[in-house]
Amino acid sequence: MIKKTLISIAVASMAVPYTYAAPTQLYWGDTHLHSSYSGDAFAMGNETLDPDTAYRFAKGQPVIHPFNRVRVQLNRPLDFLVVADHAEYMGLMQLVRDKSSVLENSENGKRLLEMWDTKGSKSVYYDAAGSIVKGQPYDDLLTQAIRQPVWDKIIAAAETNNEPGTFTTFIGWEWSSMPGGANLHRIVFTDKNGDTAKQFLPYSSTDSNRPEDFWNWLDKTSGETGADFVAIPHNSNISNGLMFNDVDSNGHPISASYARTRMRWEPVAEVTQIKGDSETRSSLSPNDSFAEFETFDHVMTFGAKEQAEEADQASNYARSALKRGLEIDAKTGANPFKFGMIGSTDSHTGLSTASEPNFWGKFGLDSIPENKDKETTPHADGWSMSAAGMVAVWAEQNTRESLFAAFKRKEVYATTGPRMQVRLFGGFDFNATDASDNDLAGVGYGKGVAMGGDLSHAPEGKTPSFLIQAVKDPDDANLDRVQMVKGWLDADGNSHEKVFNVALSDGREDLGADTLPVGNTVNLETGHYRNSIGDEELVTVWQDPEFDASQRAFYYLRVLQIPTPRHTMLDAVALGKPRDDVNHPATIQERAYSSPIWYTP
Amino acid sequence: MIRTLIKDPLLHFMLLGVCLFGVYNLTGSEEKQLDKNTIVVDRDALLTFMQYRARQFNAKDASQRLDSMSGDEREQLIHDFVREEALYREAQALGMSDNDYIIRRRSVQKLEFIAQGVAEQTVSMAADKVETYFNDHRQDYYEEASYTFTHVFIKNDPGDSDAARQRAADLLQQLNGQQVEFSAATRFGDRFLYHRNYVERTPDFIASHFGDAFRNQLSQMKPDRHQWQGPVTSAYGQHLVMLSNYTPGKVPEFTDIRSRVEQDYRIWQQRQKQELAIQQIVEQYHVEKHL
Repeated sequence: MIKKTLISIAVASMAVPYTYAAPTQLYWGDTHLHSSYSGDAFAMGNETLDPDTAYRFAKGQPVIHPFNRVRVQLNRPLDFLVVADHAEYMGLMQLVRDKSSVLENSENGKRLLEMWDTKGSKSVYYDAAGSIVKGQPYDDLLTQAIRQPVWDKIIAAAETNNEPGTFTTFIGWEWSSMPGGANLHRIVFTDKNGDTAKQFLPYSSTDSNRPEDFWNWLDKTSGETGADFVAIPHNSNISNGLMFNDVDSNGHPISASYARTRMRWEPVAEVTQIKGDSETRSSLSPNDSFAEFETFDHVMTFGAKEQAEEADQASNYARSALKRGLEIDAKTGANPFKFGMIGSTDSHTGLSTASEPNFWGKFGLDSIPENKDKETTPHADGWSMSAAGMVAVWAEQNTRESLFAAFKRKEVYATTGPRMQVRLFGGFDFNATDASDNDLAGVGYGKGVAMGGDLSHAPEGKTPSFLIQAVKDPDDANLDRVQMVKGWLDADGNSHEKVFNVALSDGREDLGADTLPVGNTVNLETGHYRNSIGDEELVTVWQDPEFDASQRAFYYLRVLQIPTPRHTMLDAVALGKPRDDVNHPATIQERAYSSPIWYTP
Repeated sequence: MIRTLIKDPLLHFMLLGVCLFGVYNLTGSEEKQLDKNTIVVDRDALLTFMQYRARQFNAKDASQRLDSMSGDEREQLIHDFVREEALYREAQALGMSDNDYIIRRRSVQKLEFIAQGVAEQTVSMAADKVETYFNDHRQDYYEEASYTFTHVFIKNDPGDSDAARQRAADLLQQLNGQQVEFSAATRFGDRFLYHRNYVERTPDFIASHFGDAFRNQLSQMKPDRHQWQGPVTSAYGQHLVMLSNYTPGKVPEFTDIRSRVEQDYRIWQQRQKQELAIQQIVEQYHVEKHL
């Protein structure tokens, strides 16, 4: 049976009037975008795209690409954005370039000004970045006189572009802690406006590399200024076994107070972005045939060889972290990894472009096909990354207050780029007819908790059931299937995982791992695909067939699209190169991860 | 003329130079003084260099590391040492170290490092001392209380301040009258900004969602899995609460967290000793205040 794309678009747009009545709307954004104020962005081909321009692009206005000078514009604007530049030497490159007088009172400032003229901008970047990697930052470049004006500009860009109801901006930055090259980075943003944000300067890894110190600062600053914060760890895949390990920075087993502090500030984790996907690996989930998606494990060891020793993978990936969280919870009474899941780009071009056919580069430099083989981050080039990362938020309205609350309650989810709509409700009373109710969200909220929530105290003899809806991105490919990923803790304190197919497209029968694959319509010569396979919408109510009311558990959805072309293939076609030269997959199966729902006895 | 001379920094610099040179004459050894363009690389020099680099002052360790180095590594070390020494002497010859605040700070840090290094080596870890330390610092290890509850939320009506309270009172009767269970709470009330169920959450976390007043009222409740309590007032409206579990805050047993306490004790002792060493240096000086 051939289905036409047009029909599916029509179906999706007809669905809109129903959702008007729903208690929450779906908003799309990116909480992790760098502008030219990040030193590495500047050094790698983005000298011009500043925070203000980044916001304007996200709102749908045309801008000039900072590297290839093409006029670029988003077909579908975002609903919200956080420009999150590295706090470390934020905006310094601009100050050196512009020969700013604030640098003249600093020895290192004078040195860098001279270096710019004699050796060029890259040398300046490597010199400054090197001082951080070595753990010997230049104190005379971290003064308030140098940092405040830059921070003020970032605040001003967010404030001018914030339009409640239409487009939301958050004031934020990135704390780029990187002990020994291990990525412990966190995005931070506040719910408050510029007046509050001006009362502090972004906490930076030059203040401390340790997450515990960072949380202390959030706590203290929150108390002093009234600002609340959301901090978002990301790229656990290249954290060298540190992001979700079972000890604190001093090497002691995680305590209840560590767990609670962490969860106070880090409600969600960014599990998919341009530098790879952090859901799970084949080695961790051997029975999951869709694990090992967009693997990227180039740890950012500057100037040194890539770490040869094998990091603890269970500490690098989100699913194993969610499982470990149950184990620690049972031992200490608190779960340090009770996080929701989001995606974001981590693009350094100032352009939030997460879609494979519309990918404008991780950096400016690799935004054109000819430059995809250039090393832009240590040991990695543009071919090895993919256009990825969006965060979807279920909220009442598009305002700072409403979106921020949704992050705190984890009613958010991740996609690897496409905008598929995913609803998940858990409760004890859902039945099959709920899946066909016109007011699906109303039923969901009425009888259960939404994604990110908790279930507890199962009534005698009852089993959790889940109301699930996945709708394709109107401008993108059909859906292959919806899966439920369950993790649980047995009586001996060991955690387990299992992936259930809960809805399959094209009327396929569920045979577990032997289920027929959805197929592949991608034409390897032209890069075109057809929506002749897969479904536009998958809706179901699923009941856990293996529920044990005495066991801790979590449940999250994974929604898979049908295969579509990866940017590498489109660029190979553009360059007239044989695909094998590119040495990366031609197709990609994009996906969404919901935030989990937890069950506690 | 005299006045301008006194104000001239160059003169000060020269005078200072004479002073320094004089001191150098008294303290510098005979052979080193012979040729200021000679850099002597001996075992002592390398060991000192290594310890500063590692920011750890332990001669025995450094000695072992030096002996276990391969030929290449040792050459690299010598190369680094010579390079640093040469640049340092040149900078000194140019007078770059005078009146430089960064060098002043670095010198202070250097002494602090030395004091710290000395302190690290004199730390004792007697078992009873560690436990005494734990008893003196019990509050550092306090683990907060936690609550598990569900709630039915009744939104404030902006036009009628009593309406929400009245609705809450009616609903409370209904919930308890019908013996509505924990898991059935979702069928009642309005949508709240955050969660429906809160599992093992601390007072601070709860306050970050409901506000301080709610937290305080919750702390007055007794856990009861079959009773709806309230209404509790928050900034958002009224809440009917079923509090199923409360775990009081506590300090864990010493034996459960011994390794953490030991490390804290070590750091604490080092700080004390370092501070003491610095204090002794400061006390050698007579301070005159001309304010």
